[in-house]
Amino acid sequence: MLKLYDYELSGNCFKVRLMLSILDLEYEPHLIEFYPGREHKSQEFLRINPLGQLPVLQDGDKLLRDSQAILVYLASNFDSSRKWYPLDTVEVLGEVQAWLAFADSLTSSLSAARLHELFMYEIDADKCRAQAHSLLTVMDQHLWINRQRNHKFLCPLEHATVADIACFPYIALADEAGVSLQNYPSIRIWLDEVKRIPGFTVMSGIFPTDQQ
Amino acid sequence: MDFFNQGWQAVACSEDLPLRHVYQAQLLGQELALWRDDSGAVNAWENRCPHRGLRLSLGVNTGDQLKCQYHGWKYETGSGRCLFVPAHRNATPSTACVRQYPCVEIDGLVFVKLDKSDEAQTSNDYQPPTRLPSTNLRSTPAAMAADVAVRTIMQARQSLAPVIAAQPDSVEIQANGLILDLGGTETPDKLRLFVQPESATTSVVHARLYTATQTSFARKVAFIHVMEELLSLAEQCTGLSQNAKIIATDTGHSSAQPQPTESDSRKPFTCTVVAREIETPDITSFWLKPDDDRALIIDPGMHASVVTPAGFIRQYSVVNAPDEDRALVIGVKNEPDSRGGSRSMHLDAAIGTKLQVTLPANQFRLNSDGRTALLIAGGVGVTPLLSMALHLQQAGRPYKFHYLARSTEHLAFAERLRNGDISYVPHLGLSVDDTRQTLYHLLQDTDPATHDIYVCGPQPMIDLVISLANEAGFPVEQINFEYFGLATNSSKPSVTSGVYQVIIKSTGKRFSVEAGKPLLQACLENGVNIDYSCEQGVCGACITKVDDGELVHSDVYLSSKEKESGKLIMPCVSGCTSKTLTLDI
Repeated sequence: MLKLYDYELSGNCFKVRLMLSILDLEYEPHLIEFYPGREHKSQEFLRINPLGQLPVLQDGDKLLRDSQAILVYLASNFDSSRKWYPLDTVEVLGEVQAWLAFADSLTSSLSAARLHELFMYEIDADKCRAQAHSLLTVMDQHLWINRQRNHKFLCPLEHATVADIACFPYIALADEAGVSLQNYPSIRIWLDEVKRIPGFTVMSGIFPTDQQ
Repeated sequence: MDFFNQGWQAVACSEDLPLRHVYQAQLLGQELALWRDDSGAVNAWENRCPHRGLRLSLGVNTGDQLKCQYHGWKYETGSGRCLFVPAHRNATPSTACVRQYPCVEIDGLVFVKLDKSDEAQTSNDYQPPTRLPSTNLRSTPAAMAADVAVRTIMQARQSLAPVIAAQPDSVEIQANGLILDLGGTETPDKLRLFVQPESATTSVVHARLYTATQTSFARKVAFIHVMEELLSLAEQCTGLSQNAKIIATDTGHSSAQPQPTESDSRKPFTCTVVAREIETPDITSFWLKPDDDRALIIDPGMHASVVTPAGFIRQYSVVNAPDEDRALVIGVKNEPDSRGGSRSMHLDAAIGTKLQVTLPANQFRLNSDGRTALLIAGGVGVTPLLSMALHLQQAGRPYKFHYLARSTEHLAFAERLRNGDISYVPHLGLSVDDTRQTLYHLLQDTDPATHDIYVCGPQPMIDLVISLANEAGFPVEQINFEYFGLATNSSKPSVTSGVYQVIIKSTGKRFSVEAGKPLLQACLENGVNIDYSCEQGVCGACITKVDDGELVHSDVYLSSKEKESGKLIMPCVSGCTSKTLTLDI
């Protein structure tokens, strides 16, 4: 069975749990106390991921780190519809990849500001928030343009992809980072669309919406 | 462009309010939760659950209700009233009600105004710049005050030429307040920009393009890029993190609003008596004009708290029509056993007399739930109902008005009723039994499903209406009443004090609270700072320990056990019947 080294309050762990739930995959959670225990920096965990980062997916004897990589792994191995990582629509794979990289930028800005607010990490939170606003502006414009073409999600397809799952958590948790989404109406509409994906699940700080 | 002079401001594009979504916006510092119900109607609510202050924009739009994410309280579309509290699923819902703002959807945009005083005014005089087909462009946030955004766009108008298919040097721009109309000499296309003043330092520019040609995708994208450069969005947006906290704050309106706000009106201001008129043998009306010439925000049912020439603080209902915003009109009855306040007004308030006035929060408001208002007035209790009737008449909303008085001569404000075209049924000189019979038949013949009751007059009459209305099947929340004057069974206070004295245990500070004034307000005015939030007895923020006093609880927050203990009070709605109340703070 799949095993997930997991921490409840991590947005990067949540995106993997979300993908697992959407694909209806069973897994065994292995909880790592990120705060205050700093278990992800323990000798024991560094043997699992030398970078000391969560999450890590274990499939048999394979260990895979990096939440975006795990999403791609899950979608390309376990999604029979082949939509979540759209291998049959190769012309959009570049865009999917671009948004996966964008999700990493969200981790270093939005998520970093949230770590400062939640766990008192010594991080220049205002600088992170400024970076986050730049990213959110780009994304809101992109989603507004997509809506003009009747695309609800990040990539020009009828359906969501791993790109949406990768970008979703830290934006949905923006309040906890001290970042208001007030000026990003297209992002807020997109958040609702992601919440309506069958199999959607929640975490502390991420609320459900109406399913219709 | 009368429409814009009425204070309407664009706050969203229609397509940004899809079904089952809750849209967050801010206007002049006031956060709003906008949502469309399944019938298509848009609600513009204060973005704050009355229960615990959570942002309602975090909640769930269920199609006909908005459910708060925190404790699941549900509020009804249209009225904003709480319909369901999960923790008390079998009990009558709470009396909590979300604060609402007037809202209209015209020409692809949603308009809101914070000033509710002339809600009655229709907004159908909106004129688009041309009859060409139109579409929205992307709304652009700007980290600058609205007037700065207007100036910035005016100066850079040539850069918008491609959007209206014009040559740069032929672009014409016309500003009307925060509305900008752009056109060109050789193009029929028009662009209208609406600058939404979000706060004192931020704004949002909404854009509607009118063009006969199919709006090309390239034009929409070009507009995004022009506006982004124009308002140098990316770096300025860093200033937008001001709304970081999940719990919304109760900041009210910002100072950017030119009109006085409700919270401003709660501060005392000086008025001069500019006219007085004998309405009936024992009722005189007074016209009180603010010395600073402020425009008044008239909310039907509201009070004016007036310091009479002899130094008494008295509350009088305001009878103003919605458009009478220059002077308060109050009706004062000369009670033979008055505690001095009314007599002092009658004898001493001559034309030219200066009076201190405050406008406390309105506790006797009209619902906007679409039910017909059944107004029942007794004697001088007609005052708040008259203002309501004038508002309803001007708004073209249905109402029925029954006015009980001793004789024709005792019908106050006859001229006002006539001028306002108010239709009412007078009931003159009824005996106690006839009063009961009349009210009984009136209420039995009125359908609770389609009517709300508003009653004001002497206490026995109000008590009678409440019990007869209950009998006729009216739920309590549809019976709105206001006692006029002191309850007959309350203890007779000394003439110099108000109704009761408050003693602050820790400091020994004492002050009096006059009839009808919320204890919370009295405390705040006397420098006793108590946290508060909903001012409806719902949220629990103002909970205060009591050392001694006979409490009257009107909140829904404390448990019955806590109420019986007499050791806790919610001062926003509750008070006391004893002469003194000692607060353990």
